[in-house]
Amino acid sequence: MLQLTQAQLDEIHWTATSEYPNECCGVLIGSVQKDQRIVTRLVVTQNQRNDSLRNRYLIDPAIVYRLESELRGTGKAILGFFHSHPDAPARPSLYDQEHAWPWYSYLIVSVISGKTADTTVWQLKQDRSSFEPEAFQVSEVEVS
Amino acid sequence: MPVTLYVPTPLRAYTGDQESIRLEGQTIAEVLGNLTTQYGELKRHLYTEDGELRNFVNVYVNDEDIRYLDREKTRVKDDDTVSIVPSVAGGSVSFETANEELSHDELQRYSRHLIMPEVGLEGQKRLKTAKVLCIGAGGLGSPLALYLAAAGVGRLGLVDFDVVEFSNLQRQIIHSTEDVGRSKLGSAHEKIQAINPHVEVDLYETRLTSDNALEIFTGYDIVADGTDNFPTRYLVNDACVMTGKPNVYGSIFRFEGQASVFGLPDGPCYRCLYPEPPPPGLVPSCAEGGVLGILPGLVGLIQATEVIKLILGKGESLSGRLLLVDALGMKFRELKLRKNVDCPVCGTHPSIHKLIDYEQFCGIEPEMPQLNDDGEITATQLKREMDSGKAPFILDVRNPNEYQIARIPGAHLLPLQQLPARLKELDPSRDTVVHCRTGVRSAKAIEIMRAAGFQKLRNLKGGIHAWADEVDSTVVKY
Repeated sequence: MLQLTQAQLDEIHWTATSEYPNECCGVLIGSVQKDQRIVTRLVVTQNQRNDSLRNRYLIDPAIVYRLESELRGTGKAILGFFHSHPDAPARPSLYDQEHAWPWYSYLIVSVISGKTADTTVWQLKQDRSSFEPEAFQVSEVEVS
Repeated sequence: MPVTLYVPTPLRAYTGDQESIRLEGQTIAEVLGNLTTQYGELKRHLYTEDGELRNFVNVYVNDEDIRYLDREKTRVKDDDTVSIVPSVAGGSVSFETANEELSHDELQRYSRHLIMPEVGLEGQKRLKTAKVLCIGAGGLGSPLALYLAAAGVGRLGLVDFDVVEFSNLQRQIIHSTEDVGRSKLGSAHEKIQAINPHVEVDLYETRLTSDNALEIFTGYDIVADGTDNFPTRYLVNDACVMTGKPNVYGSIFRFEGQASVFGLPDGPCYRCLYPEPPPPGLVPSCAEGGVLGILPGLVGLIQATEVIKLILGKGESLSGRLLLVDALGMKFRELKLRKNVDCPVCGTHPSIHKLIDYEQFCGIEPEMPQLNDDGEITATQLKREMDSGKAPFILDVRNPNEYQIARIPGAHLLPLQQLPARLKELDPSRDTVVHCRTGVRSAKAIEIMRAAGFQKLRNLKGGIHAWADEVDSTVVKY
């Protein structure tokens, strides 16, 4: 289960609506405690396709490389990523699935006509065949 | 030689939770080979069924992405660190095929695709869902449109405003002899429908401009650039970057061609390769320099192949590579291209956010401003002067092979390229009319000659084509 604070979710929603009609994207960082994944930091990344991309996002591998190196040995890790689907449902597309990694949490926000609609979280199945929904919980304050 | 390999979090489940592993190997391919031999389950996540490294798996040696080194052949040395870095991509729509069905007729038609593991039913449905825009229905556009239609691309857009001419038929195989004089789009539409009635065709009988490009591009998944001039090529590139469409590029000249894929999220664009256009006139167009008829077939089909691969999501695209085709030597060479972080359109801090005036950008003036009206002469006037006995000196600045095809009687041939070195052969005080094919090169010649002190210069308006139209219809227009 993915744990987010209300403030973090608000920031994701704010990013998604301010980038609308383009897709936004970013990195979820935090710690893993048993089956809980606790988000402690968000990194909003510029959509690497920094053209007016309405239906694609890419996070620069150099950013992921930098974050991975930075987090090494700190007990924190990249837990997953968030992105928005402007005027499309908050479920993973075939494209999402083809480009997905196992283990990570993929948070998707649907933005319809500039307003946030559904928020969902997904994980790729081990056999890469499809995504399955992951539960997430929003708390008022950070769970430590 | 052992290197340290860092495993990203999602893959640690397969390496017994190890964050780093010491591995032997001379090259990245060997290191990864040893890794997957040791931890078999990793293979599925790192490689496709065909044994290719998945396109969202990035590998770094120390701080360098191997895409910019020697890819999997990159050599490693003792104590290098190798990191597997997830490339994170996704998006809301992409050839969603869930609602797509193939009819009995389509199943028969595409059976050779359907039995291929790389295409199959899923791939064929993707092709049917795909919308591809071809810029130009000429040399490159002909094989592109015909083969994409035959392969079952669901929707094809064509942009062109030309009329079929005899000089097109040597290479533009979508048009037939009987189509001469007809609009290229009308002719192309008919051939596409004949080859595959399942394809929907959108016709844009217009010049692609900064005003209409974004709107037209929005409706398509991929743009295939079959243009023959620099302003449109830059326009297509910038509009592709701005709308996020892959730009499948091809260009041809005489025996040589180029092809690449621009505008993919992690790949370069045309401007990363050529930030500035060449000075006008330096690179002759096919109309000026000629082109081997089969060459657009060769290059156009490389483009069509890249389009199909992008739709299927298979293979390794030409993104990041410029393919150079030399038909005379029959050699295919490849240059590595890198995304330019300072690129004004696709870089980290782009300075161009909207489409510009591309004619101006490429240094092409709408009219030749250096020549006022009395600097020009029409073909009819020239004929009159010649007949009156006060014939001016006629200087032909075309190439010798053009001179062999068609000439104005009495004209003196001196190709533009040799002109600066051979000016002394000409009399600066003599009344001179300069001509070429349509009037562009002769205007440049006049510029050079004026700078050298020539006085009485006039440009033949419309070149030898105007001569053929107005004076002598037996002169061939080429």
